[in-house]
Amino acid sequence: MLLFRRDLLRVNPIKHIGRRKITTSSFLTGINAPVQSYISRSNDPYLNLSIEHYLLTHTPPDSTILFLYVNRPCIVIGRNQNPWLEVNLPLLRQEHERHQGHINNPIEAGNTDAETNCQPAEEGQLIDLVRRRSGGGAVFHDLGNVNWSVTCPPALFTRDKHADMVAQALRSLGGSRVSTARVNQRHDIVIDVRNENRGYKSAKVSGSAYKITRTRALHHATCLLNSEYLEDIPRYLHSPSKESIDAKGVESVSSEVANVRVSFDRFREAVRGEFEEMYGASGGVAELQTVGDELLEIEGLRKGYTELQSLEWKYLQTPQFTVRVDVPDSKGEGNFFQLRVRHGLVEEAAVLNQHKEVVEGFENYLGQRLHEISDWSRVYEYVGKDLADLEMLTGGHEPGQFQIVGKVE
Amino acid sequence: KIYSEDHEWIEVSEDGKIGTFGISTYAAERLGDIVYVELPELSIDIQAGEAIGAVESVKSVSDLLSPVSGKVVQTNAAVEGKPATINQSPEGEGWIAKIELADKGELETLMDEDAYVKFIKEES
Repeated sequence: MLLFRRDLLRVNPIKHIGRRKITTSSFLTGINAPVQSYISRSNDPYLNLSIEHYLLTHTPPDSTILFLYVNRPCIVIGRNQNPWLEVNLPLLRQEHERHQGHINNPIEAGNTDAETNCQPAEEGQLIDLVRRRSGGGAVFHDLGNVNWSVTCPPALFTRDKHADMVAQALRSLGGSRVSTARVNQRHDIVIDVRNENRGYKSAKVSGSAYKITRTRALHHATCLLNSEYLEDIPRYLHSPSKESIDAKGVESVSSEVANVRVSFDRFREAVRGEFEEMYGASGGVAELQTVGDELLEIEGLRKGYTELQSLEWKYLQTPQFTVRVDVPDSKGEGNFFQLRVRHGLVEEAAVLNQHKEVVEGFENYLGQRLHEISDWSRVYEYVGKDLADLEMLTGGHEPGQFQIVGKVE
Repeated sequence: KIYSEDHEWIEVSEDGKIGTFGISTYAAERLGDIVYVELPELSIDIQAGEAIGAVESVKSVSDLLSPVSGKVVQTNAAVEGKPATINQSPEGEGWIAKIELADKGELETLMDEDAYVKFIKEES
């Protein structure tokens, strides 16, 4: 029986362990070792992904590196994904706006959508939208989820090799739940959990993604230990614009998920042990070294950190897509408003008829960044009514980004 | 048609100025189903071995490395619209970009088909 108090889980499980902390200069020497293992004391997803990317690009081609980190609650999408399609941007936006005290914003007041009807977010609990550099689909991270990664030479790399390593680590912990851990055909780790009929079904506990460069291969993955957000995940990863968007790029495959219900310390020791068994013979480092924001002293790492946080990376990196919203038949039967978006910029904004001929163009939107557009009044004037589907296209939650319409009381 | 150790091919036009490049059949098979191609930017100057784009297959993003230095003069819109073209015809319709060669001498460092076949066998 496991019960969790929210305030306990807010504590970073890594901060309180007495691992060996290293300085930036000893880190820069250490990254030349053949086998290395690190653990981050930061919960900052941008920092952790940047440390990981620095290790991918700056460690010797024949070295192998283990890295463990835990992020604060955030949604992490794959490099070639579309945030409008994968993420509930209006929900993120509303949480951020509420937090900023923009409660009287008329846009929000008029929005009675049940999907965005949520409690005001608390300080430090706002959810970030993060785009990683590796492939794959959208996942949710929180303090009850640990991320593990292994960077190795491409010649040693297979998609299953290190997932098998972690599945073995989980099985080694014993207990009826984790003893069923195995890697499925999607390279995810699954376990057996009880289904409604007192039988068993498999549920995903760890999802993988990869980044392969000229000389290196990175495999990183989540592992749900004791996430408190399992029931909330579908709400955050369901886009209300899904039906209106036709996109290139990578769409997520949703799976039923479960927690392994293993403590962070036990997971860490089991994975470290398996990693050591696999690579320790080549003169391995047994002890995990603790890293954190001091590494931002390294210019290359800081540069990647800044890039990951930029709205250009989050939104403009999106593969091209088209938004199509029906307009009232009074403007001609089968007419629809269409936006073509390339590199996050509006390339076409027009009402088309059923033969896909332009009936009315809206040149004022051309070249604009879709995530920054909050004023669709030109379209509304033409169509004769507001279109909720367009309101939902404004970006998620970047402070100060939004035009406040009307008087804030 | 000649090949790089990074599993890219390049075919040089008759006048020797433009090289068309793509990924080798072997690379396409190893990557699996390609679901997205991030094409190189047009008109940019590139160095041999530089990452100028990426392909995604089975949750993996793999860098596309230019086999030569030069300038990107054309990209293949067909593979952007239909990435599976690369799996179906990696060394034909699935080409990725055309590059105006900066240094023809670089071509001599690449392998002909026989040498490449041998290289793959040794690597695997």
